[in-house]
Amino acid sequence: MLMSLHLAVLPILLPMIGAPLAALLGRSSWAWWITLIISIGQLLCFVAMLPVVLGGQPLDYSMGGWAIPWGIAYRVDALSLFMGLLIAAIAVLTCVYAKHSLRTDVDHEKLPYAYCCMQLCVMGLLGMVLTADIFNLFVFLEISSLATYGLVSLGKDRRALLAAFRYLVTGTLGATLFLIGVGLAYTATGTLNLEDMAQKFATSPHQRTIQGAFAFIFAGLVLKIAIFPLHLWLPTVYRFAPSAVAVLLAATATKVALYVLVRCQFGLFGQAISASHYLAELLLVGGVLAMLYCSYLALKEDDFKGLLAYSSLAHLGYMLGGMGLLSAKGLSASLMQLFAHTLAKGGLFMLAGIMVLSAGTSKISQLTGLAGRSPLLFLALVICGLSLVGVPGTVGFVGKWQLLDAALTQGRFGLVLAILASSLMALAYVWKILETAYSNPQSNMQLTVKPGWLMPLSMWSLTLGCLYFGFFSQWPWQLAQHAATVLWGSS
Amino acid sequence: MSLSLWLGIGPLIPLLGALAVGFLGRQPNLRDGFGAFTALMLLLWSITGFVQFNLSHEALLWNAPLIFASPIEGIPLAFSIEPLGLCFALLASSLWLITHLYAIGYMRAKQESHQTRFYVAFCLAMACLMGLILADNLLTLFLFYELLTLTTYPLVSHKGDEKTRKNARLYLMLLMGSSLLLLLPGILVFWQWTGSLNFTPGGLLDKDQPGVALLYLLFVLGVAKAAVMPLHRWLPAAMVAPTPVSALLHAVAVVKAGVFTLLKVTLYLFGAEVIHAQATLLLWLPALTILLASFVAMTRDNLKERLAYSTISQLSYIVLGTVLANSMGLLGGALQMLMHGMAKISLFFVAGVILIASGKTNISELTGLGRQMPLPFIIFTLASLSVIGLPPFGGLWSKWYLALGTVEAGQYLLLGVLMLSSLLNIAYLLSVPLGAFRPSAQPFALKKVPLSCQVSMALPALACILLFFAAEPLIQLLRPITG
Amino acid sequence: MESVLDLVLGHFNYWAVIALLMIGLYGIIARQNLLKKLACLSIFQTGVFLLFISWGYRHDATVPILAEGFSRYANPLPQVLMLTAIVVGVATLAVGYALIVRIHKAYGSIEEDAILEKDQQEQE
Repeated sequence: MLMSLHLAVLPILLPMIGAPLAALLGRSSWAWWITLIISIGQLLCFVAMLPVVLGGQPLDYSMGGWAIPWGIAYRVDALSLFMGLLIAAIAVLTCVYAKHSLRTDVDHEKLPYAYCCMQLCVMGLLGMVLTADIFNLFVFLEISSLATYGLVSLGKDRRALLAAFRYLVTGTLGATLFLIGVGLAYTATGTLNLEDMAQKFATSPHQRTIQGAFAFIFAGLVLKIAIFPLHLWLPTVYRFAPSAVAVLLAATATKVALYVLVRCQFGLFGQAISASHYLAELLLVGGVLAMLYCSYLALKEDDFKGLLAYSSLAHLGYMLGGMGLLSAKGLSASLMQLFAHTLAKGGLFMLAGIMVLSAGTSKISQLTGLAGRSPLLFLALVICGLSLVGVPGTVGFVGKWQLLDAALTQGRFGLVLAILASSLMALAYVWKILETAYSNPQSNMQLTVKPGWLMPLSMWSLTLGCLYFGFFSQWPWQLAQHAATVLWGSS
Repeated sequence: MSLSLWLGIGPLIPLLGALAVGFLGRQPNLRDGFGAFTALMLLLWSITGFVQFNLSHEALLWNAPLIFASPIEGIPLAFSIEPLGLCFALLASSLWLITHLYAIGYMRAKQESHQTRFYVAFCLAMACLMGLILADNLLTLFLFYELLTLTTYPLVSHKGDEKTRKNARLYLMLLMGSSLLLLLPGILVFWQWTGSLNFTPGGLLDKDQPGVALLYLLFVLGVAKAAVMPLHRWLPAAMVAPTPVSALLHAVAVVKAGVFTLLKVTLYLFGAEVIHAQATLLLWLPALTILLASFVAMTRDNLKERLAYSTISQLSYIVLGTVLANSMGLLGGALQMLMHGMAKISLFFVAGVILIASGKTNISELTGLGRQMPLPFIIFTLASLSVIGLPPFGGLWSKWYLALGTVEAGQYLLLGVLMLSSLLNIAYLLSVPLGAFRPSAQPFALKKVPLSCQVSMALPALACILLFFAAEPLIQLLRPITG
Repeated sequence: MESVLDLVLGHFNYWAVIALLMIGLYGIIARQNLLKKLACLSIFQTGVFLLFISWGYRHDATVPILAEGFSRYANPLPQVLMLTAIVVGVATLAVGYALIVRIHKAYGSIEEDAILEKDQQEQE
């Protein structure tokens, strides 16, 4: 009973114990076990909250027992739960994956710190999802970002350092802009609680201040999400970070920033902003440009991880497009797309990590003969790749279908065309990889290092997820719809 | 056997066959034997269905689909069966058995590499085809349509050299690109209009729904497997595949899957009456394809490529009948699907036998070959006559009903197109054996042709003759759905 | 005239904030030296701290402790928030400096263009 009362805050508290332990105990195997246990614990928390939240009532928690508008509040509604489940699940899988992967990517004595940072990163991400206090959200944003900078800099290639530094500068700039927005919103309402704030926005006489606040928050988040044209930091970070870190980032970090944008745009600013159609056009145009331009960049890219990074940027475009539709349907389609992309891209980055580990390269042109050498790995590549394209039978298709359906319902034919064109380009760049991997079975690509069984295990979990949810998509779709209607109701 | 059990088993047979063939890769004899066994099982399966479900065809079997997944709210993935699918399944599975026998001889005679991969992909393609045939709604059909493209890719790119890879890429990009760019939005718009994708006798659309022709255009072009110009380039490109693949998949299974899709969409989604009333203008797309492809076929010297263009032309007959959408046209289209498949596979087998025996692929090099090995060219002539549509061959019936369809619709110009095309068929098909029977200065150095190839080459041609006399049951079968 | 003066002088703290933000932003974009970049980032953040503190300030007001003779109290929350933000900023700076130290070790330079040049040379 006591535990169930504190469920909402446990995912934050657990790593606060686990992270220092992992760092201080100083043994990498212990650190791994701690991280694994903590992340499984976090996942269980979210699973335990599932029935309560789906019952229709959000779960509220006031930190330290302070009454809600005054103290820091945590609130778990369908949207938080959706994101939280996704992040926690990915965190568990990444942790399983990391045991082998980090050991080869990172110096031995730094391993405990790497696990510590990983826990802190996940803690920050989950904190952003759970909190109902906008300043608290900023703090968690910075915690996860700081941990990420450290993790990225652990990459073997020295270019990882510069990538991490650039990420730090851009990320801090984005977070600081966000902070200005928070301040403006606070001056207009005198509260930091998201729900309280949303209510006061409606009656506030300072509408221009509120719009200014949203502008700053929007600009800051756009930097964090890496929306075209503010995306330059992202490809190098994904390329040079240790493989396990790249998985974590690609599957969760930008998605959570997107979650914050969704939360602010629909849940917080709601009517104050959504009435302005400029925002919708901005999101749509930005999304379309991102889809087309970044898909094009992905086509030209010769590095496997780099290609995946550009493809991620293009897929963010889909999600933005869905948000720009300004409807519950569009939003839930966006969330579904987010879910689909997390599975496929997480799987692909895990695969890229295995490739780098066993073949020693991430150049696409050197993948020749993969299909002959390791048919199973190739099969996973096919499944995840096709999910990225949106071929039926994969979860990517479900996301794309819902998005197209929503866009058609609202007569946004430009968006429909852009999505289709971008899918076509996705087919082209995915096929570029597949064809190279399939061709020349005679060539002697060396698979020198065996990846063990933990790395393939977590990769296959995501890959099979892509397939499973491609056939049975009820629960993510219902959760996404639930989340969208909750947000829509509140605005 | 209960219906849902039967439905479930259909795609499973080739799927399990693929697994078994894959595991038996190290023992070629056992592997090929098991492949043949799988094909035989599939044939038995379709005959069982034919006997059990269709002779009692009064109650169409719509109301008992086998639902196995639900990717999208309101659109399950489900199987069911109707007469057209039953005919197609019977055709495909019987030809598969023949093709498999042929392939065993062909692949061994040519000492092709990666035979296990070849047979596994072949089985998988057949599994996808069965799924496509049994689809209860458009989404299920779309799923297997895409999977069919993917599973045939390894077959097309089998040889693995640069030219093959280039052609295989074109094959995949055209088929998948068109389905993502045209067919998918078509399906979505249809879903938006009607809120259902279930195949329903009589169709789902209102008679006076505006924009039907435009949407239908998306389908006609989006189903690029039907090879309506201008999206036909993949079919000649796919001819780089080994001959059994070209024979079964690219003369029968894949291309017929395309027209089958169009037929089902027309009959059970748009409704024949709606298409008949609104899509008259679209008739010119297949009509032009019929003529242009025939003309192109005349210019091709590579035998398989000429046959490919002939296939494009003949496929558009079916599309023409479908778009005409009156009862005669639809019946003609459906019959053409069967008759042309029978005849064309024979032509391809002959091309493969010629390749095995003499190593020649170009028609101009065949002069005199017919005197040394008459049997293949006699069979070629018989099959050609069926494609042209002369008695006593099954091809007559499809051409006959198609012609009746154009007359019924008052499209006399189209009737002219059909007649002209038949003349062109004579020119580009019969010129092959005529040339081969001319005397030549030098004798050919011939290799031995495996018996299995010779037998399987002759069987479909003989079936064409049989179909001339035994077409009545088929027509009886298809009548109810074409109205 | 008076209103212009009021705009300029009456909001001098905001002008200072804008100046700090712009100096910081310019430096982040234009400087090649990583140390200077980081310093400018810090200036940028400082601008925001000042902004919050300006919002929290009220003339003639005192800390919110009830006492004789005071009726105007300032809201302490913005300052408290800034305490947190400063801590976050310090942490960021520390991570940033640590990164610069490692970059210097790896490349022997902290000039961005020089580093990029070295990377390019390595690739060739």
